[in-house]
Amino acid sequence: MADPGVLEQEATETRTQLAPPWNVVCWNDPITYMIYVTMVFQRVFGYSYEKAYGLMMEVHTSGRAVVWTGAREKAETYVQKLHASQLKATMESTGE
Amino acid sequence: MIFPRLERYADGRLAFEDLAPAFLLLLMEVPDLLKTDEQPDEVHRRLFPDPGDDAAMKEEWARFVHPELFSLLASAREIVLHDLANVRPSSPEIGMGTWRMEIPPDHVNGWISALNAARLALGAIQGIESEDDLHAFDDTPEGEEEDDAPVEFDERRFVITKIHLLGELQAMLIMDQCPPPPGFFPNMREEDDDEEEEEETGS
Repeated sequence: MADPGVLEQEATETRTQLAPPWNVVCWNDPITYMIYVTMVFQRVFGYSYEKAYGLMMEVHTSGRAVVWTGAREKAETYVQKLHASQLKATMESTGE
Repeated sequence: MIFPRLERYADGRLAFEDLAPAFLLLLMEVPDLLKTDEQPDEVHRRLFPDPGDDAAMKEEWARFVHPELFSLLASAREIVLHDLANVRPSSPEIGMGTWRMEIPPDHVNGWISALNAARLALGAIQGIESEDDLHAFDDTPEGEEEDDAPVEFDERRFVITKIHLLGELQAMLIMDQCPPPPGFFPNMREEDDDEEEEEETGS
């Protein structure tokens, strides 16, 4: 029997699991100009010209490139901004 | 063909100068291509893509994001209509010659976006899915250079030419707004110089 003067407390265990990050993927498009894609990457992500140009080249040569990785909500915002600039962009969970 | 040039003024205004009638007529097609409620499905799919394969995400996107994107494109279309309404002849004496279109600083991004969307819309209508499709008519087949036979009208070729010409105008605006850092393309500069030398020595 429990002591009436003592609150019994069940042992609990809290596990914190961080949500897996999401990739923002940009896909190649034959019509959109390379300089336009470079400009959009600079404006949307704040990348330097060098970094934006490098990612654009990866999109161009590989057909797609992961242009940003992070929290889902922010990934959604970035995909929306890329769509607003008519770039083909998707988001995918890294599943980590 | 006379190519227009982009002039920048001290107060930030830009203007396309020496717009040939063909260029002006082409620009006048842009607003119709941006009418979201009249676009064919293939254009709509290209301009308003899905964010991924997940059905719930696609539904959410169509419900909440697409309306915002429609609104943005409609704003760009309004900018185009406004500036086209203010086109003036380059010179009163020229008459049927070239035209001048001014672009206020706060309209430049709208123009870049509108030109991009118009190019994509034309490409979607023609089913252009690869670089090969886009450049299918770039080179005259070997042996046909001297052929005097008239070239038959080909709508696909005509539309691809429009995509390239709109791209030239868009590229001028992008290079004004977002030029590469000095020295970023040193090889390209050298090649240009070489080409100029070749042209000079070849004429």
